[in-house]
Amino acid sequence: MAEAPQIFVRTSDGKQFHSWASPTAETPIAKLLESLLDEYPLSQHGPIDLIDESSGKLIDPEVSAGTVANRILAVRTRYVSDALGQLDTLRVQEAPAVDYFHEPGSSTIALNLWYPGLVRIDSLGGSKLVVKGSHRAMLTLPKDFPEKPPHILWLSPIFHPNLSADNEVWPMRYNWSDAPSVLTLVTALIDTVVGLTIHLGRRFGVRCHQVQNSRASNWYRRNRKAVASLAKRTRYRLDGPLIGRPLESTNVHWNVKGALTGGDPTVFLSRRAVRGILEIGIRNSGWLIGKQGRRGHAPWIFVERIVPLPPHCNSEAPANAVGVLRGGQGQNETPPTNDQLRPLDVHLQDGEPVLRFGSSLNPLTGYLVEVEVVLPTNPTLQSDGVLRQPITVRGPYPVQARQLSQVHEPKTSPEGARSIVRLHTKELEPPVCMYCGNLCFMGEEWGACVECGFIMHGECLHQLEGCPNTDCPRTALDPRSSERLSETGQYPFKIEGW
Amino acid sequence: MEVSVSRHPIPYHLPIDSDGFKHIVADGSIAPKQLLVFLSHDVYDFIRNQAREYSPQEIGGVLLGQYCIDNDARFLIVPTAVACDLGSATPVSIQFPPEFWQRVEEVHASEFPGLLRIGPYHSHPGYGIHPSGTDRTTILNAFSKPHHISLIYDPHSDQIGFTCWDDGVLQTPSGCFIYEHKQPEDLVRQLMDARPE
Repeated sequence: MAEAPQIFVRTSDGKQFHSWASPTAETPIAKLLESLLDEYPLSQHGPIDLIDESSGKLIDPEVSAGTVANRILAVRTRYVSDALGQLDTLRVQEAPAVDYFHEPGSSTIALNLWYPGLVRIDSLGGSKLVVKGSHRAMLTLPKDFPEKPPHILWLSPIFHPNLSADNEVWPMRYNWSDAPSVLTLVTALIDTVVGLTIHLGRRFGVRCHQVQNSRASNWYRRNRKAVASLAKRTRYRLDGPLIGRPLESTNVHWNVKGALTGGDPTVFLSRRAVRGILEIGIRNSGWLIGKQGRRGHAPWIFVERIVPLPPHCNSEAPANAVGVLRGGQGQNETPPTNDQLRPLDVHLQDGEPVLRFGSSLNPLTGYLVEVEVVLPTNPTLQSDGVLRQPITVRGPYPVQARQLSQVHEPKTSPEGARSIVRLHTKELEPPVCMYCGNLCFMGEEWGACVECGFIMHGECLHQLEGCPNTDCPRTALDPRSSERLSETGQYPFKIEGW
Repeated sequence: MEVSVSRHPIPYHLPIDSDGFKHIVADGSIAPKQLLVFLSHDVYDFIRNQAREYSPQEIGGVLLGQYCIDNDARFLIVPTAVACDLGSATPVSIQFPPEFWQRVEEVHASEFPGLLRIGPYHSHPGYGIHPSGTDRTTILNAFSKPHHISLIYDPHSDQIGFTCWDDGVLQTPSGCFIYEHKQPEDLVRQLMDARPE
């Protein structure tokens, strides 16, 4: 049996050492990280990482203590784990449009973004601009992160003035020293992808280093309004339809935080909004995205999620913003637009949300929060057996796609029948959605545009509210496509099914 | 046997929108799209104290209140209750004898005319807020109208919940709102006057 190793860990300021006697050689380093939490509380330092001083490499928490015996480790605060925590926050708020993959022990993070962005497709018939909803990038955290910003490598094809495939990119108008946070950096990157913040350069001037594609720059200059319109519609959309006040119109359970006062505005916070306020509010400001209404003389507000606000963001308030979250350094600042259209003002005090409505200086005494309901074990007591969420998942996003891929993986064919099975599989090969790039599988709703024949999922169409083909009369870039869809409630697509 | 009469809800402001109500909290999670129950803080405290005092025996009684509607929200305001101190109770059962119903009738007619018998309340010392088989039979037989509820309190877990009917289906237990009112006597008078017998 291997001897239990002694491990030395240099403190984050580099002045002292901690010594840790691992119970066994097989004990994972995660145990050491746990024991360091007393010295580095999560609330103060965020998640911490351990670095091998000799190689500078990140230590995977799952490796055994024996593998790092006789090496000196160093504590790093606000490094990879902290960045991943911030991406988790963003993933929850933007679900399901943001996802990431991180190999333990690595300082690179693969980022997947599902937002509308343009891609040029060249074929024999000529080139065509298509709205694509799936993009990939790679974040690399430097050794001196967060003093130095991450490097962002854009991986997927894109037709954009400031982004290009296989090149290092940086979101427009984002200054790392103002907000050294992965959360706001990726938010700003999303704003750049969808075209909310773009830099077009001067029309006849010297080419600016930020303009990576001058052809795209010219196109965006001509179609700026259409791109901005699509960006606003999709970036800040509400996931679930809300017909009236959530207490009467949604299928979720509620609890009261604090105590309500009759006649006061009633505020409803979804679970992810609560999480967003707590996690984003300690660093950044943000938009409260939701819906508001009035019952008689009593106003109500529902907050579905939080969209972080990059610092010095001067973009106008989104249509679905019902208020602002004043977080981080901005707590004492005047909110960007606390007007009658966005009357809710939220900030954190002692780790708890404080809500103000309109011009009132007094905070609301209470608000309703969405409760996670555990299904009862007695099935007879359940009316329909369905746990409903206020937020509906849209689009064949990665998890669904993976599940579907597993379901549709061709089974091993019996001996002697291989060629027939292969032919059969080929004949039934599902078409690819032009928007998300995933296959349109059996049982899914998908169809072809009646104008141009582009194929896409029903859910993707619902998200995009138009055809991804920019040359099509029903293009998503034309707001009238969206209006037609919302007026008729019907797809301008011939739904095929499989 | 209790004779139940189907009632129409009377138009009234939902307490969370009404100025007279203050300090509205919730005990348990409020289930969606079903009857909302606003229990007076006095009734709530009374039931909890009674249940704790007599634990491990069950306790019970009848809730009196008003069945209201505000736009599409149906709700009950329960400002008072009549406790059952007659009959027999064990740790797993309680019986409401005919004398108790007689007393409820008297109190209802003399002190709270215009209010409705909303339904029974009783305690489940240590076995949760879900109605038992006996409870379900009782509710089905005597309290099966849209304005009827059955309120259960478990003093061990300090949980309260009510079950009600929706389209003939007994719903899963939901939590209640607990309210205080600036002028409780006026509220009771308003609720009684809202439904002249």
